[in-house]
Amino acid sequence: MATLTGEIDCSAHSTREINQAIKRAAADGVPEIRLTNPAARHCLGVAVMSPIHVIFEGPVGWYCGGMGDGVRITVNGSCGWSVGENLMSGSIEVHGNGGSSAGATLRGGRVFVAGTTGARSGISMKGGTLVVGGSVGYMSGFMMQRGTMIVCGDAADGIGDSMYEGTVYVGGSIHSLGADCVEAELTGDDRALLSAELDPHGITSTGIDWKKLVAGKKLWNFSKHEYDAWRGAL
Amino acid sequence: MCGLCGFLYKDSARTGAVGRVLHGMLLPMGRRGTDSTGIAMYGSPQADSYVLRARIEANSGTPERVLETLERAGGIRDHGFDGPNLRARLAYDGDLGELTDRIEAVPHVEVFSIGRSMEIVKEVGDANDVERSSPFAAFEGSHAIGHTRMATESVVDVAHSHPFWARPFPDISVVHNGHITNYHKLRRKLENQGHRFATGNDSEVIAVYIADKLAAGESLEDALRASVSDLDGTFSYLISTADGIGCARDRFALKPLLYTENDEIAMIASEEVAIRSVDGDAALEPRELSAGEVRWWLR
Repeated sequence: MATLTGEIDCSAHSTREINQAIKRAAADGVPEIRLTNPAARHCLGVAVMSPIHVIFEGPVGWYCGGMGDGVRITVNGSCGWSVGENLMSGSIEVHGNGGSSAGATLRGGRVFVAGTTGARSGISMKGGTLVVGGSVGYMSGFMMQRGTMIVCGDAADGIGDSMYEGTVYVGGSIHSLGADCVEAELTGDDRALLSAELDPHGITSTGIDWKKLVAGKKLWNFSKHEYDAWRGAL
Repeated sequence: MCGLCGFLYKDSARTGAVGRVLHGMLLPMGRRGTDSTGIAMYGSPQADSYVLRARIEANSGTPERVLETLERAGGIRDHGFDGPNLRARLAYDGDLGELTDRIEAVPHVEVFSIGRSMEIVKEVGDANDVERSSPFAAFEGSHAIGHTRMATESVVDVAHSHPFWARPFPDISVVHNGHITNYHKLRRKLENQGHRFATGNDSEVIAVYIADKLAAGESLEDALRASVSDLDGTFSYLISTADGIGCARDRFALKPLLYTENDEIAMIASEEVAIRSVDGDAALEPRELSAGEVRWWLR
């Protein structure tokens, strides 16, 4: 790739070239890099391990920003499956709809999707915060182990199925709870957390009937007396 | 993993470069399936004739035997070959299953489609291989669906390439991503009703299943909704008819499918990158179908 600049036209480069340029820019201390014409291409901005603000002017494809550590990514468009997969720290903001598995195995940092996301959003989260401005799809929060998921819209069937730990907040309706996912009392600390997470995105957290979901912990250890719970989970 | 895409003009009077659009959508979908590629395209319907698309291996006079068969069946309005691929306009008003049997009784012949407006072209390889084999990018029509295949079960050849015509129902075809795990049970049931299958590919059963329901008077919406319960396994599929396109996603949402639309057009694809090949400035916001969701667009 040619000499690094603060702007890259994705249509003129391979994905490998684009990602290498982002990493070089981050290593050189460039504070911000703008990428045009991403055209929903997969694997953009993955594994960026140094602080830099990466701005995609258009839709990105699958796995955008995955495995990043300290990166800040803004997507002015939609994104595909698994945005921010295994993000260690940093933030990803998507100003459009997302696909399935948004924030999958998230370990730290923040992933924000302004629109809706698909099935299995926040699957196997191990930390961090996933905020969805719209609704989430089937089995979101599946096997969540740690972290926070905030859904401002509705949750489809099976929310929080088989979650071990972590917290899910849902502002809209819940079609059905997943196995061993239970509703807990919303506290003042929860409201403060919701306000702190949503205010920066211009989303008001007040006046909403938030539901707080946590693990029922019946699946932590097998008990033949909890047969129905296990049958439901399996 | 396979790639699906579809495009439709909503206005029943409108046609356009659907071949060029599908070619553009299929190229990026090639990453989801490199084995074969195919398209079902809908041109202007002719009430008094059918258009046939078939592969005829050019050996020992077979093309001449097929043409003789078509002449005896009712007559050929016009025809042409692109290598082994035949396109013929037929004057015929009989049973399409019977006609298909007569054509395929000639050795080394594979009927891809017969319809008033639908034409299926397919080839081993990518969209450019199809274009070389059966030029389709210049096709003007109302709507089209396409498929790129990564074979997981049945053989890699042109016969097992998508789209599958719901023989003998005119103008109905399907493209599918996934596995239908109750395929044998469904196929036996449909065979007991008198339907026949051209391949051992599980996707073909979706086409015949939907066509059977439409022939029984069900709406496309009802047929799509029933399919979500009746089909086991993982699937995203598009079904095209003379009037429009429908699509469905399985109850576990395991295979990708998204759509976008405005007042004029609708587009459906496995991945957004296919939509962006047409809508480069990202004016249309795509949305994933949710688990078990069906959608349809009728012109």
